[in-house]
Formats: sequence, structure tokens, C-alpha cells
Amino acid sequence: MTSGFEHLKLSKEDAEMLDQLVDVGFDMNQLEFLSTEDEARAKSILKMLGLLDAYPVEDASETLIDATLARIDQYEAQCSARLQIHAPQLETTKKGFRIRMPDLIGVAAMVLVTVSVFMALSKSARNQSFNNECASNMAMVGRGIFNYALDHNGRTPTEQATEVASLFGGIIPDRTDAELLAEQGYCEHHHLNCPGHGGEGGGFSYQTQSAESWDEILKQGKVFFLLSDRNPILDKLLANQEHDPLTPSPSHGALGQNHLRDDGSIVTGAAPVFGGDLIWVLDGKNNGIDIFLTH
Amino acid sequence: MPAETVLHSDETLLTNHIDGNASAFPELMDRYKNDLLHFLIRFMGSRAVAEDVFQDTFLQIHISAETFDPSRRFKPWLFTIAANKGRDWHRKHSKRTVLSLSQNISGDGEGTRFVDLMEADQKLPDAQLLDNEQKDSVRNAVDQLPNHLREILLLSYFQQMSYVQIADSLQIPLGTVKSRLHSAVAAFSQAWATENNEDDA
Repeated sequence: MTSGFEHLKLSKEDAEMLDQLVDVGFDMNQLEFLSTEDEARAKSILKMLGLLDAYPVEDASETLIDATLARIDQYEAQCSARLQIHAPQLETTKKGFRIRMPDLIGVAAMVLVTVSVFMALSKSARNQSFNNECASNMAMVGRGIFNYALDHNGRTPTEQATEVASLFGGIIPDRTDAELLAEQGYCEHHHLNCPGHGGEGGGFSYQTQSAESWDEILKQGKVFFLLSDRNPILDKLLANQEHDPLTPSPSHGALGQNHLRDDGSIVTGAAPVFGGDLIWVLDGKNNGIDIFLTH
Repeated sequence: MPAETVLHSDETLLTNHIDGNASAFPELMDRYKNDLLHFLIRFMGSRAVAEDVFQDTFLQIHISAETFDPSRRFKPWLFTIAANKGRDWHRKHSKRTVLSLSQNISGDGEGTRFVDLMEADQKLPDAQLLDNEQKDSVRNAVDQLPNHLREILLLSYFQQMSYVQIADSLQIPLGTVKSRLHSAVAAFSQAWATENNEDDA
């Protein structure tokens, strides 16, 4: 609340006299050695303050104390009621609080639910993290292949994939020699592995083409895949096991496979497409060009 | 031989109340019922509100009794709690507006104006001789004071609390207490003059 009183002050003489009167409880008789003017000033102040005594007030009624005591009783009753509401929950023994079986089961259930939710979230976050790191590694390897090709007349580092010859009628396909990229400094060793794959010396599947095929591919202007995640179908085939065409890569949970295209972009496919040589070609069309991926 | 009546101190009564003596608290209230109620009527400007705050005050005393330091005096603690409760009430009902006396009187409204009570003394009647209309003027003048000035004026004059006690009670600096009391007395003087000038007119 504001007012226009803030700028009002007593004169210096009045203020000093008022301070003296406050000190003696407004009993002027206790002030000694007052000059005539100070005495008149003190009387003026007391006269002014004496008007306050005329403020009309009445004594307390007979019921005020009873009403106050009733209010206190009401307060105490409310406090007691609150305690009674909470009392049944506090079952104790001489040794302390007693835990009942339903309480224990309830708490255990809550803990289990909390842990399972937390683990699901944690697993999902972990797989997403693997997926992101895998894509980053792919980009580094892809850049390494590109730089290697620049330094070697357009040829990519290749080696023969003898272990998959049976899948191609005895023909031994070529594949990218990823180790060579790392050894010659075109990428780091740790870039060669998908973090979700668990090592084994190489977590990626690599698309390999001979230099001659590259020229043919480039003439058609087709975007194809340089690198791809580990192929679960190929794993099954090599192990002579049943395979599911829609099986996603185990590397990132069920998030699918990452694929690095020759334009440098990375796409994620939910499941690999299997069809003869069209392994890992997502649109299922090779336009007569023999494209395959091995790892 | 008649039974000797033992007069307990306020502090002892409060201690007895904490110990479960049922008659101690009513006795304590009885001692201060008029003194406190008068203070609150002047501070709140309404008897009904004053009675409500009175009850709040003693309820708070009851709740906080165990925190009271028995080595200190009870009365300043009581009036501190009452002033706080009164201030809370004013804060909740703060739509009340206060007339700016400086504008009514001087018209300029700027700068500090010094009031000399010696000069006003000639027009002051004795409090005992005031008629009902003049008593209403006193009430109007007091009611126009802002709360922070009014509570210090009442605590100082009626409860005769020292500057140090008021500063301690209201948790404000000693210098602020002094300047507020000076302003309160000056403002009351001006408000009284305004009331009577209006009545004369």
C-alpha cells in the first residue's frame, strides 16, 4: 500500500524530543533539565499523541476468550483427525515397522515394472546409439574407398571372397579389402566394424566390383551400394541354415541395416532383399549388372 | 485463613500451558484481552476483524508455544505475532486505498515537508474533551495511515515498546523504526488537521 505520507517528517526538534519520549515510555516526568521550549515541545507531542486515546475502542466481550478456546479445540481436533487417518498405515512391532506380504508384493511388482521399462528404454537407446555409430563408421570407410580409388586409377581395394564361392556356382567373387584401407591409412581400424556386430575382425558387408564393372555401372548412372551392414541372410546361407527374407540385422536390434551409397548418402533398410545376385539391392533391380555384396 | 492467590508471570503461565495446565492459557488470554484487542481495533480499523485476528494470534501462540524462549518477555512476542497476523490480513485485503494527504494539503507532492507540532499545538483539543464527532475524526486520521506507519505508532505509544524492541519484533533496522515513527506522528498530525479542516468547511 502506498501513500503520500512518505515525504512527511517531523521537524528536527520534534524528532529529537519524540526519541527522548519513546526512551522514557512517554512519561515526561522522567525527562530532566528540559528548557522551556523543550518542555513545551514535549507537551505538544504528548498532546498530539494523546488524541490517539480518543480512538473509539471497546473492551473485549465475555465470549472472546471462549471463542478463541473453541477455535484452538477445533484446530486440535483437526490435527487428531489427520493423525487417525494415517495411523492404520503405520503398523509397527516392537522391533520397528512390520512389512506385510501384500506390501512386499506390491513393492516388488513396482520395482520389476520400473526395471523392465528402464531396461527396454536402455536397450532401445543402446541400439540407436549402435546404429548411429555404425553409420558414422560407414561414412569414414566410404570416404576411404573413394580416396583410394582416386589414388589408384579408379580401382577399389579388392580381394577374393573364397568362402562364398558356393553361393555363386563356384565362381569366387571379389570384395573390398577393408583391411587394406586401414593399413594404408585411408580409414581407422575401428571404422571397419559395426559396434553392434561384436568384432570378428569386420562388422560390415562390402560390395565389391571389378574395375570393369564400375565403368559399366557408371555409364548407367545407377546408384548402388558400396557398403552395407552384416547380412543375416548371408550368414544363414553360409551356415546352411533356414533364412527369413525379412530378418533384420542383429547388429542394431531390429532397427534394420545401414547402407552406404556411392553418392555418399547412408540409408537404413528394414530388411535385406534376397534374390539371386540381388542381395542387398533394395529396389530389387540391377538392370543386368551383376551386383552382390559379401562379407 | 484465606488461600493465598499466586500471581504467575506471563512466561510461567505459558510454560504451564505447555505442561498441560488447562487454566493457564485462558488466564493468559484474560490478561491481554483488552490490551491486545484495543491494539488490533486501532490497527485493523474494525472490531470484527480485530476479534478474528485476536483469535488467530492466540491460536498461533498455542501452536508455537514450545518455541518460545522463556528467558524473554512474553508481551513483545504476543504483540509481534499480533502485528504479523494483522499485516497478513491487510495484505490479503489490500484493495483499500489511502488518501494522499500531501496532495490535499500542499498540492505540490514533492520533496520532504517538515511538520512542527509546536505550531499545531494551539488548535489541539484535550483528548478527554473530544465529542463523538471529534473521536470519529481521530479514527479517520488513524485509519488513513499506511499499515507500516500505523503499527509502529501503536506499538510505540500504546505498548510503549522501545525502538530496539520494535525493530526486533518487526525485523527491520533500528533507523527505519525511528524514521517511520517520525513519519507516523507527522502524518497523523496532518491527517488530523485535514479531518478538522474538512469538518470546519
